[in-house]
Amino acid sequence: MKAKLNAVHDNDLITLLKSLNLLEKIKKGKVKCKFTKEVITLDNLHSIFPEEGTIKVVCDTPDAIKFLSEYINEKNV
Amino acid sequence: MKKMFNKVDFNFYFDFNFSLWTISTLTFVSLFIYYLLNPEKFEKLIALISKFLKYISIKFDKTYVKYDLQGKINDYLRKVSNRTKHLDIKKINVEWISVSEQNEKQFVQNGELILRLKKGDHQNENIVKASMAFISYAFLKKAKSYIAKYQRESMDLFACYDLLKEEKSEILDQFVQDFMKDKMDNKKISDFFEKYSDIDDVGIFYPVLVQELTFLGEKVFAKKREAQNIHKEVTELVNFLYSYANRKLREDIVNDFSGTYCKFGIRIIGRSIVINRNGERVYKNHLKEIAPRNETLYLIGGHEHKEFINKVFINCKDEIGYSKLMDDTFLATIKNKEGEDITVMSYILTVRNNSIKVYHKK
Repeated sequence: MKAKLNAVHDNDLITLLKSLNLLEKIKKGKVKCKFTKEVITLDNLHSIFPEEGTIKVVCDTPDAIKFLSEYINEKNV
Repeated sequence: MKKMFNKVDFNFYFDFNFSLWTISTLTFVSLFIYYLLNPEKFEKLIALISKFLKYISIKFDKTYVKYDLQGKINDYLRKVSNRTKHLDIKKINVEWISVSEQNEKQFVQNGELILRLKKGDHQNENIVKASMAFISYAFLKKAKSYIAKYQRESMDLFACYDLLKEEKSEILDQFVQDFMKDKMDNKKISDFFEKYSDIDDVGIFYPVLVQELTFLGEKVFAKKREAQNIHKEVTELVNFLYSYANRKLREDIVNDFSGTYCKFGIRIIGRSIVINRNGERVYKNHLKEIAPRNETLYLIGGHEHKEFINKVFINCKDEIGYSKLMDDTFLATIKNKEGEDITVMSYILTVRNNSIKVYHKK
């Protein structure tokens, strides 16, 4: 079986964030990491996924990535 | 005598008349066949070419990031799938999402996890983070739904470590610093990790442990299950293989594992003294005896006994009702009679009971 890993390259990141209405919120420091509550910036953004009607964003600290790995295992994101 | 040799005249003529065209065609055809059989190597080649081209145009950066990552993960997956059957995922494709098609409403309703990959200058970081995401998402997916948290965390760490250990030392260092160090403070996780390492040294981490966990995942899928019993059985399985990995040469230990979900036997075939004295007979009789109470048999021996091991199995497979699942040759570090490490070229033949029916997608 072939699995796919959805990804966005840095070249397209701004356009994606605009489409998802996240760019301004991130620039204003209003978006926090789902797991560590750290303020998300364009530099530390690691991943994005939907959950219960909202968009969740994860920062790139090792702690957040570990939580995300566990979350993927449990919830099958 | 001397006179006779003087009269003999040896003349060898070699006529190499290959044109440049023939040589290029042959090289091209050989490369084509090689890359057709090893697509992950082709991905690595694309990555290498794009790595240089990205200095000419930034458009090639995306190609480099994608294929470098994909090639590395698929290389690992190929290694694992050569040693373990029925894996959930055999290949991965890094897909750039179509940015223009995204909108908030649609993403909230049907979206999937999107991983941000940085530019090629940060490729080490990309590799570490994407490897963690991939292993968590795809490696032993079914089994990990049922095993304990510390069991799956230790399994993910070991698999990721194994994936990255052949890469540049900076990549492995970053993984160890960012992800392994903290987790290893958890005694349960570090104990399991060290046991996996010993099990891997003797070459049975993927062909036996991961294989049995794959079977376990298939068996408990869509069935009533007691989580605690599964956690206990996985711990016993790891401990059993750890004892096996640390056995000294010729040491007698229990070599059958009879759990609720995993039932298998490991047998060493090929002590020269037994082969010379009794031939196949003694091994065939033994397999006939142990086959009914097991579901999988792992027949292990020195690489020089590969043919003999196959002959023993082929000559009794119909009688015992087993079929060949896979085989592999590998370098193993085992303990000699004094307990010192020695390296040997080993062979494993995995055979599976025909009566076992499990859910698994082809």
